[in-house]
Amino acid sequence: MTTDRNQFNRDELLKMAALDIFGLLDEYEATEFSRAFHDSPARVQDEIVALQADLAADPLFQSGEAPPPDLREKVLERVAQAVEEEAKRLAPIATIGRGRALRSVDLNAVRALDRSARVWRAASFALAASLLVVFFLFARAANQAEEIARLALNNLTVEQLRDRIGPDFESFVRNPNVTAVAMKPQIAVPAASAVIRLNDRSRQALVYTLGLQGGTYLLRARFENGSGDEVVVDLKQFTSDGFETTLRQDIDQNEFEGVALATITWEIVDLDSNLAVLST
Amino acid sequence: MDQRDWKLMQDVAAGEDHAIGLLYSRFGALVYKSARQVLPTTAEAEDAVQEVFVRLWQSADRYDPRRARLVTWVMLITRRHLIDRLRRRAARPTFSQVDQEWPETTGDPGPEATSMGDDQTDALLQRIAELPKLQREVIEKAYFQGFTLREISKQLDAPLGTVKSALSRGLARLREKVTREDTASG
Repeated sequence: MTTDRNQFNRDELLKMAALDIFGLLDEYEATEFSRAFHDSPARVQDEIVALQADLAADPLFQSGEAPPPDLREKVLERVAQAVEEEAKRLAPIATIGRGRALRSVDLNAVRALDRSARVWRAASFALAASLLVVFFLFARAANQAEEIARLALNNLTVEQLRDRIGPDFESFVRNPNVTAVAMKPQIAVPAASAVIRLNDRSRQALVYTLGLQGGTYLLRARFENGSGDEVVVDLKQFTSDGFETTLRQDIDQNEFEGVALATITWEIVDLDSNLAVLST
Repeated sequence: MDQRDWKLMQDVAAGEDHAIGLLYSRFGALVYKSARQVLPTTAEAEDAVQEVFVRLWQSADRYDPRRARLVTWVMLITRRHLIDRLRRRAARPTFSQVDQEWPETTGDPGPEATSMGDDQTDALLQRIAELPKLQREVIEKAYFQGFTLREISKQLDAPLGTVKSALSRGLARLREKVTREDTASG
């Protein structure tokens, strides 16, 4: 079976489709398969869609045991808890900067900031995020606005990430294996925010920061190992230009073996002060 | 149906309880049965189902009905989560004796293959046991133990292409067996 997508024929695509539905393609192959799917004629796409649906529902790959009746309630509670936790995590991000309440935005004041390209770019992104959040806060109930803030954060950074990372960005966006976690300011960090996207399958992380003051920083991971001891791993040093940074990191060190990336506390540490400025 | 499913997932993405409830009504049993087939205890299968639905919520805004039917999307996320769990179990061998009920690939398990506790899964294991050696080993390692195809290729000292072909043929043969048995009994 070839991995050159230009040489995929119908039979090869159908074989890959079967492996894909069972989660047996690695990250590279899954991306290649997805691209090949989109390049295929419509009739082949329809065949693949039908085959995967058939395999997905095939009772051959299911036990005969029915779920317990109380599982439904447990699922609803677990998801509700996750929704609530994420809303709390996003609350500081929605205000775009620690301690800055989201008030009405003065567009004339923003235009007056056109003193330098860098300040304008930083202000324009903060303004766009603020306007989007303000619009929805006026238009929706508070709990829905928290969800919109999550989408705004994801959607605003997605297109920017695509420009900066190129074709590899699909490993971190529109990928069901990826968890996106907002990083909250830990000290007074004007207008700084960050999102870390974690791909547990490929064991990679992508950090995007906005408004982090110029300087040298460190990506750090904290977690408990199997013995209950805290493990601290310093991963990568990087510099911020005061506007935005994108950092991609493999998490394949021995210390991380068996550790789910989403359970780790991720920190961005200012090397001048040795203080964590942002953290999940 | 495609647009309705897309709308449903948009509502799930928004965290709406009724949408998540509807999603569970449609696919909860499927997710549980898939989990129970590869996880040794009901407690672990229940926990996996809950995690899967959290992931379904997290990824709901990315669902594209042009790319896959909703059942496929649900099973993709389910299988990937199950594989992640299987791999974490392999990395952290802290099983209790009760958990250690896996069918090991130490040779032909034969008809006395370890029971997973229900007839349907036992029947699958029996069919797997009847496959040619390479196909059986690859399916057991990939499907029940969560090894990647590259890892299996190294373990069995076989080319990756050979491993992939064995897996594809093995899965096809399993489904053919079921079709023949259904035809014979029907």
